[in-house]
Amino acid sequence: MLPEPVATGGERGTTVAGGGTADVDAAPDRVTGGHGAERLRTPGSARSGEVRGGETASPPRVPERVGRRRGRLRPYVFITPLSLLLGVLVLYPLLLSLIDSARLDNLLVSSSRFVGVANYVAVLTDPQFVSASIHTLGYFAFATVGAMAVGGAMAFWLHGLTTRARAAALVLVMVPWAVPGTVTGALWSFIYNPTSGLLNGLLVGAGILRQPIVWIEGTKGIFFISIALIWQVAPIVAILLLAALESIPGEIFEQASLDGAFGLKRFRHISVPLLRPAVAICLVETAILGLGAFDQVVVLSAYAPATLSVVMKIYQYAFTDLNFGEGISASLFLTTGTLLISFLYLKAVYREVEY
Amino acid sequence: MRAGATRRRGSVRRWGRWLVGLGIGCWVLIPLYWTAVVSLIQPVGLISTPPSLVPRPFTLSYYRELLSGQPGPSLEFLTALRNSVIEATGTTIVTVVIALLAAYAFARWRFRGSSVIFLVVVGTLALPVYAVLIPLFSLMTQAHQVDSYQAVIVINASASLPFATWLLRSHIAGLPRDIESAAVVDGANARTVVWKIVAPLIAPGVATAAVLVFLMSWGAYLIPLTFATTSHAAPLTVLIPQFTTRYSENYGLQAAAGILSLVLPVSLVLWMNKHILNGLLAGAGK
Repeated sequence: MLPEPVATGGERGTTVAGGGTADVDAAPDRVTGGHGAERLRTPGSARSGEVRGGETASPPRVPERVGRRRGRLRPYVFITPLSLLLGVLVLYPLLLSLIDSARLDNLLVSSSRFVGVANYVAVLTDPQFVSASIHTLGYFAFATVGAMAVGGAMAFWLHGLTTRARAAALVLVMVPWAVPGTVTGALWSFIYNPTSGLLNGLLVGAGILRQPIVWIEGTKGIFFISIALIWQVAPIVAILLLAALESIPGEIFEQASLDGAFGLKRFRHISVPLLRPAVAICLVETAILGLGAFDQVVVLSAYAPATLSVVMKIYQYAFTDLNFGEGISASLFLTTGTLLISFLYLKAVYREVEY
Repeated sequence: MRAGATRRRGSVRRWGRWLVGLGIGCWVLIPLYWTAVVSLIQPVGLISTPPSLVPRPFTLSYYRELLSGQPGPSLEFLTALRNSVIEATGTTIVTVVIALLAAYAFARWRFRGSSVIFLVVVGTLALPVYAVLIPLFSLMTQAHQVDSYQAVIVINASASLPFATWLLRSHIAGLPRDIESAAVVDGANARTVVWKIVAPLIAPGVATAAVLVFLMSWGAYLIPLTFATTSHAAPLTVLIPQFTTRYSENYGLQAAAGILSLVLPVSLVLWMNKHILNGLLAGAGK
């Protein structure tokens, strides 16, 4: 759960940060022809145009030649640990997976021979993979609708509070986000438990149900597991939307109320259009979580076939069946699908906003 | 007349706000509260209908059992707790150090390939963990690194580095260069500038990155499930699903383990929430 949520903060920032920092950066670099590595900027050249003329005045010039060579290498020294880690642990395995999907066979049969697209075909014609894909689309759909609704309600609620109340309420809203995914699964398992769970207890106790229900079972299990997913991802949606709401200038709402726009009208014609960029990022976030559903599902369903998600199927291909080739092929399908949906969201929903 | 309508609308809105707040509070807290109840109630209290909504008859025996250090569930739990602390702390340190160096280079220097490399780094943000899991497992097996702290730490770090680098870069870019330049005039080298001048100045940003990375690796499941295969290095997130199957009838024990594994991350959020939000918003360039 956590990698995604956290990335959100980042992604939202990217959209905002671009405008804010780029102009500050670009100016000094352009002034000195891009030899940024040479030395740190002087105050004048870095900050403003009017002092630019005097930029050569201050830097220490004693070890000119040595300094320049070392200076040119220095950025690469600084990014070497990052490049090494990402290169070895992300980019190289990614490349490897493209090769291995066409090469690796079931480890129980033989370790490696060229199999072409056989792995892809095997995965696509595996009824278990197909049904896992359908379940995953279910998680994706429920999580998207639910997280947008709950997170949106949270954001508008927080937006309407006084500053002091909001600080406390925000902490409350953020709590589920800090809970690990498998623990979230455990929390909800005590609600859904057929014999001692809270839900059955309350419904039977109130006379609404005559018999306790097994909630995590069959197709309806997907819906109830999705609720745990929504519980976990709604805070991110809430925080992203709240930040976007806060950045809308108050005058717009004032003008709207003078023009007689309240409630739903105000929501539809003012909030929604101005929130588009944030909504796009939220949709991407929930898509990543829904399509990658794993932690919560594992705990709540213990790999029951009726609620199996694609990531669980990938894990089974690789580490139960020891069929790495099929596992890699399946994960490439899921990765491509997730990236595609994210891209379509950004293309369809994301719009630059000007106030 | 108009004023009356406005006032009525205002009070309706105030009531609505209270109701929505109540709903949100219940939604967030009920799973946590109920799990706490299950962890504090004697088994007999769980089977009554309607269920007892407070932990009565009360017991602390599950917590006592988990924290006793006896072989069995307690030893499993305490080992996993230790592993979680080591791996999350290790990941945080490795990530923040590496990200800070790279972020400084990306924010302050333009060098050949800098924008392309930065784009690739940010691009890997979009890559989910499962995309590279299996080939990575083969690599780590060949390197005899599976089932070790360092395997989990470097892989967690590789998953959180793009975000941390991006966040710290925007913090550094928002910093005026005057102070650094003054230090350079005084003869400080770039490394000193980063650690002694830039890092303290963007301390809120560093704290934000550290807390977020810590939470991310504390909650990570797929990575340790794959790379910490035995209890030797498996953290709490891996132990929790095992508890639900191994002690499947012992709900109190499962619930107590769940509560104990969320104490640290949740208190971190309660304690650092201003930092997290301010840092994120400041990082976003406001």
